[in-house]
Amino acid sequence: MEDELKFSLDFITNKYSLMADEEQKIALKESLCQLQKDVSILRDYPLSYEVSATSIFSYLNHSELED
Amino acid sequence: MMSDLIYKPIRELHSLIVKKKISPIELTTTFLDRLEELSPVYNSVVTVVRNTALEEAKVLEKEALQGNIRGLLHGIPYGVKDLLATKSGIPTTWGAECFKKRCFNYEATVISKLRLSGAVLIAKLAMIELAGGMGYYQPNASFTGPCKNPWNIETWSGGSSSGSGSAVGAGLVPFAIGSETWGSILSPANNCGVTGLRPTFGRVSRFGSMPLSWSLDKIGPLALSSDDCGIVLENISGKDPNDDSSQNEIFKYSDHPSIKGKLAVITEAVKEADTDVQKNFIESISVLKTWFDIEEIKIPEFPYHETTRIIMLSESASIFEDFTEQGLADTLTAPEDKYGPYARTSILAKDYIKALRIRKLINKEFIPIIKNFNAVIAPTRNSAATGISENFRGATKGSGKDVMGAIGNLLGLPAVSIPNGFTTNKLPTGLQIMGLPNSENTILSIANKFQNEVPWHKYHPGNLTPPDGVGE
Repeated sequence: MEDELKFSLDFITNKYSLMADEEQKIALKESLCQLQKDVSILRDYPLSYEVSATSIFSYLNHSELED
Repeated sequence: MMSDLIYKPIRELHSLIVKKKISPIELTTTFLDRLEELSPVYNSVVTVVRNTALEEAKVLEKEALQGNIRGLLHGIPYGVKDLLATKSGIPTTWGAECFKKRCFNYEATVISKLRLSGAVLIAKLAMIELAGGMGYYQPNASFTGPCKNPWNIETWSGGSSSGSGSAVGAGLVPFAIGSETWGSILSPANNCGVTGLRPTFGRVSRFGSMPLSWSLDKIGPLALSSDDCGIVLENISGKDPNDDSSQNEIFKYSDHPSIKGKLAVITEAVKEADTDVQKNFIESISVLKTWFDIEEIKIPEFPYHETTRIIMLSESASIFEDFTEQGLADTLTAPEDKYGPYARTSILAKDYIKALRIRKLINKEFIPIIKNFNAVIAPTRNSAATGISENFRGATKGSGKDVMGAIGNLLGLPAVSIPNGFTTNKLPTGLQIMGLPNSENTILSIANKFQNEVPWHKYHPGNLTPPDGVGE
């Protein structure tokens, strides 16, 4: 994850020249660290390959649960 | 007579119009005058739309005189969060400086539906820039300045539907429309002591609304009571060919006064709340116990917050790709919003998909648990409103954890927040009632029952006189 963090930080600061400000760079790094924590928790979460990413909208349409 | 119209429930205003004791023009003018006088005190309004409002009120007045009443909202003024598109040269700013003058040539479906119902749009209401999606930490994250809480202008209204909560709380509009991706209706309802309804995902068309996260965004009302919210929801719900996530059936609001049963309390949703919030929640439980058994439940361990956050950030990275590429983030007000959009561009597709897969599993496990109950209840927020210049994420105890909000928004579940008391600092607190998908009539019936027993939603801020020099 450390490599990934460094890569993302370099990539973003190079791509978006507006982010050259040192203070913003520090803030961006903090933001990326939080993101990496979230991502890391999701990556560590065990799932079998049978669990697919269902279409976003169809599974949320619970018409059978109407009151 | 005119000041008697403030803080009246929709049914009472309707009755006055039907009986011709007040005309749509008089009602609209009363609220327009009040908005223009008082909204600068609260920073709650972006644009007052006097001319178009009066034109619409004239038509409605003519119809009313002929005995042609469209429904309960005929002639009732309202405001919308400024992320809903309006035409006729009325700007839609999304709360951001760079969109201050931007006008659309079409309007949001919600606004069209309300017009057909006879409601009169009188104001575009303030909001956190880009609906708070860039990661703001402070109430000041809007080009209109921090939106103030009518209970104490040194405290925040909540966000991102800041103006919607504040304007209803201050009696500047009888009801307002807000939107929620995660917390944006319930937080201002909590802070401003009003009732806010987050509908089931897909209940209300999002066409013409600023997207922040396609699979999480919902639009709903903030009003003086749960009954008012039910009335408004009935008028804005339904299928819209312009929004493929909108549901087919039209929601018919119906109260079930004899509702009884079982309510669940999720242990994790209560333990981090402030003392006053916990105390008011316990008192609310003692009221609800008259009709419901209350059962504390444990929920399965899932990365609820992380999953919701990754979905929201990934979708918003795509939505705001052009905005970010053009460097427009630099024009935003809050320092944290200036860099907020960048980090999320690094999320990998596989991580977003993993979040969607975990969401599916959460849905599979959580829904059967709450099916055993009429609803799940919790404090709406862990604290009452925080200071207007405070970093609210740091200032609020446990603010980083909002398990009800994470689950509810992830699964598209409806929730209503109703006032349930005050803190020792005289700030309102809220009770949240969350139900199964499409169970709005159930949660509203529970809320109605509660509001028939308690006075909290009938209390309104006392001193609404603007300080010297404000609003001149």
